[in-house]
Amino acid sequence: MANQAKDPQTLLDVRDLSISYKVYEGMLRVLQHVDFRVESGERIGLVGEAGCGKTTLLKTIARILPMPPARIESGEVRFKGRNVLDRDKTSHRMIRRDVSMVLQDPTASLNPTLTIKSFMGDILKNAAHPVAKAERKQRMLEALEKVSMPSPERVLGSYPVQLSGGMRQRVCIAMCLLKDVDLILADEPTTSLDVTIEKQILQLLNALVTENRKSMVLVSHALGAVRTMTDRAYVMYAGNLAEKGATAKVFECPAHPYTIGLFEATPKLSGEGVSDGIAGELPSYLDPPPGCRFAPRCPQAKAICREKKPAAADLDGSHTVFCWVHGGRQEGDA
Amino acid sequence: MSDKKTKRSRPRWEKFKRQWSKFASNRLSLLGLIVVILLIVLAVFAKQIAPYPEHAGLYLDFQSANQGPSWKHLAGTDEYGRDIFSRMLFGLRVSLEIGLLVLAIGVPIGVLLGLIAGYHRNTKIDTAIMRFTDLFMAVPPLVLALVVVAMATPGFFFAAIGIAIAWWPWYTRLTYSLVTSLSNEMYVKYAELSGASSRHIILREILPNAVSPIFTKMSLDMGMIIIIASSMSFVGLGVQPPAPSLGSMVSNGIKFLPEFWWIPVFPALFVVLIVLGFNLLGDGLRDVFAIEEL
Amino acid sequence: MTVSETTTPILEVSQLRKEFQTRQGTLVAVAGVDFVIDESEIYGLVGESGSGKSTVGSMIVGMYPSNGGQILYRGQDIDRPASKRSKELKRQIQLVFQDPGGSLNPRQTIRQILSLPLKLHQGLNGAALEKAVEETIEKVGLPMSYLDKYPQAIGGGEKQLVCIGRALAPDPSFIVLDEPTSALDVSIQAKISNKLLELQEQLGLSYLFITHNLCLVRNLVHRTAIMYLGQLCETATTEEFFTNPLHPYTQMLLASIPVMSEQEEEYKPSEVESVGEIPNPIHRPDGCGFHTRCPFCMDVCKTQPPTMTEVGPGHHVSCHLHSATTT
Repeated sequence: MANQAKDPQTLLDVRDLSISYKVYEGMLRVLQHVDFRVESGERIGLVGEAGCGKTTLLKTIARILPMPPARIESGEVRFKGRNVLDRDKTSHRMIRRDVSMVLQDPTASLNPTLTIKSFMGDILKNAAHPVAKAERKQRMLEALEKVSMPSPERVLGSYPVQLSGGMRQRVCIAMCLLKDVDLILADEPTTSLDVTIEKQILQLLNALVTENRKSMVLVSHALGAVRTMTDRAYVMYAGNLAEKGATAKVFECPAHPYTIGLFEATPKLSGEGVSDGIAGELPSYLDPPPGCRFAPRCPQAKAICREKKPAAADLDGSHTVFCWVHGGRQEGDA
Repeated sequence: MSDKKTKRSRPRWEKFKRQWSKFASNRLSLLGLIVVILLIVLAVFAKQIAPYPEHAGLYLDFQSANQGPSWKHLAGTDEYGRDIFSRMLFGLRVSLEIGLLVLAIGVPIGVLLGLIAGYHRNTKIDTAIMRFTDLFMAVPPLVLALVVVAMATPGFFFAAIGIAIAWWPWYTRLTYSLVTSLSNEMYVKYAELSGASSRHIILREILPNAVSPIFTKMSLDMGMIIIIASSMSFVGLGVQPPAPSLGSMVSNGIKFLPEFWWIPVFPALFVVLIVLGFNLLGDGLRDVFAIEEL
Repeated sequence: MTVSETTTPILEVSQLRKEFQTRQGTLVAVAGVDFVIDESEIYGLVGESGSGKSTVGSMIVGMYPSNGGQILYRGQDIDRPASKRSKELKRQIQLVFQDPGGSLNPRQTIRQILSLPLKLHQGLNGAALEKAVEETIEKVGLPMSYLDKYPQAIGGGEKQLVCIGRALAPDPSFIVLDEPTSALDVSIQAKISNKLLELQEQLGLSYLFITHNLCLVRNLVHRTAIMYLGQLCETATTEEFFTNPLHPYTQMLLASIPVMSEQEEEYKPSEVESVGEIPNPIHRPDGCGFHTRCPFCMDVCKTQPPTMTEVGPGHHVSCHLHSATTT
């Protein structure tokens, strides 16, 4: 088992994942045929707006998605070769031990009635190689120092309410370090923080991931953060993949009309004025449109877009777009 | 114009349908609702349903006394030969009536005081009302009700008054906390900034959002009120004989245990059923109203 | 995006102060702020948490009175809570909040929500009210059918449009917008920003646009001001502000923004590292509030608070590095 982690294998392999939620009105088709991959040591960005399914995807990987009302329609999630959607104890334990999530609201992730020392101690106690009591404090202080926490001794004895938002998020990241996870899932880790603190936290996260050769999935609607901190990026719209590829390529030459619209709608520091945004609104998940889900809003939509789901079109080896406008492996128009 | 009417009722109807579906998905809540509806029907049509309606008042037939449950007398007869089942139905009617009367008196008073105190929080009005409320809450409800009844004449009406006097403070406190937290909502602040009258803010902005928890509490309270009314008639300070009351049926029947067990046991079980029905209904309501927004 | 030609001030704020009493001590939320907004101008007030920007906005709309200083609206002193303001004044100054979900009463239909300001400020009733409500919802670009819906049935961006409509309904002259798009997705932010610009141009409104999003400010407002710990650090026309930022905090903030292209990187000042955290406003540092994090901190910064100095046409900075009486 230890060897496998060192081999360059695909750490996380999501294949053809489709998930629906049961609600009063029917079934919401939240994710459709999503393929997603993270190699060891890779940093992946996941871009998309509210409702595109990115949080559902992360929660499914971390196995914290409540299974009714959610339902897996198809697909599998392979972590270190094992399908974690199987309901067996080993895969459950593997996820708990090797995957960690850093969430948007650090306050919600930390139990307000425990001191930082308590839950860090808890993690060390229950780790794969449990740490002896004498050593624990030392390890905790080391972890806090690695996340540049001011006055780590005082922080250990504090309750989460006594710390600022930035400090709480640092604690969450320190916990990932203590757990020595292989994969960090960061779901909007800095959205609730101030801009200047955001930069510090993102830099910290980046440094830790690269130094310790961990893998990371960063979900953020701060596109700039994704651009500077990830190797590959996925763009999602309404539960489908729109585009994926090397981050540099996706940002320099976005191909999917949604990606182009999204980038354009983002206000720029260069002062180009306010864009018009993307016309229209998200499609209904209850009764989604048959073809491409973006077609109703797409300025480049063609007849085939409304009828058939777009297939992958390879742009140049490390950049793929799911759009009929760029051709597809099936009969698509030029 | 009628076009507008149908359009207006639709969003409310949609909302109702969604809430109903959520409510009905919990079997226990549905059971509670069915039980309560059944009880109401039984109470309203007690005269028609009871096989021996005349046994609800003065009636003597020592020949039929102390007979066990049979097809003729579903719950047996008591020491005077009266059909227990029929008396239970009339006793149910009395219990429900007391419950409704208590709520009809106690809730408006309590809620009104809570609204006023909550809206004028941190002022003298707030302090005056809430400390006054505290006084009443310091005494256990049953004791307070008994004191009131003992000072007046025992009977249906004063029993209801007594319990209402003990009950309104809880509604004041509930409404007060609801109003206090709702006052921080942005839409209330907006109305204040725009210069809306206090009356508008309390009645149109705050109250509609406070109704659900109050309603839930009312349903859960029904059970408790009926128990208290039964306790009062158990000690003889509630509804007076020969009017049937579940509590007095139990208290009078205890001396007949264990041979004529049916005399106290059936009325007691009936009280359990009534309270359970209202509690399940109340719990169901609470669940529905809690996650309304999603 | 032109700077307003007229220079009649609509709002003048001088030495504005606000303190809150908390269990840990006195919290000075706003510590002496001066600025002027002209008619038909969009004025951006930028800051992070603890800067006091929302408190300034709250005082302007009359949520509470100040603890010092003056607010003049078209020459009239308005520094008092809304309950003590004239009806006319309340009509002219309106507010759009950050959280569209929380600003709309979930038990009222859109029609009822929009009717309230019309009834209160313009005393409309019956058929005239119906017509005005319909005009309002058209003005913000929402379909008529929304009038009978409840807020939960419509999306975040649309809720915000309703809030904007509610602010516009009484025909105001000045709107305070407190983070109006922060809770919305990027593509919807763009739509709302557009609508706001369109309405401003059409109706000649003046806005106080409070936000922490510098990229938005760059493209939307005419003048920009930045606050830190209750004080103004720098104000300038937007163009000047972003091409020539002088205050170290401004530079640090600009340097921290994650941007989307190399091209934009060039607009960020040469790396001023973001260090430290915002101090607790209850225990304000002496002298300049920013000195604990400032890479250019000098001795005088630790003891004496700087004053606002004009360093260029319309460009003011509050920093010892640029003050007329340095050392």
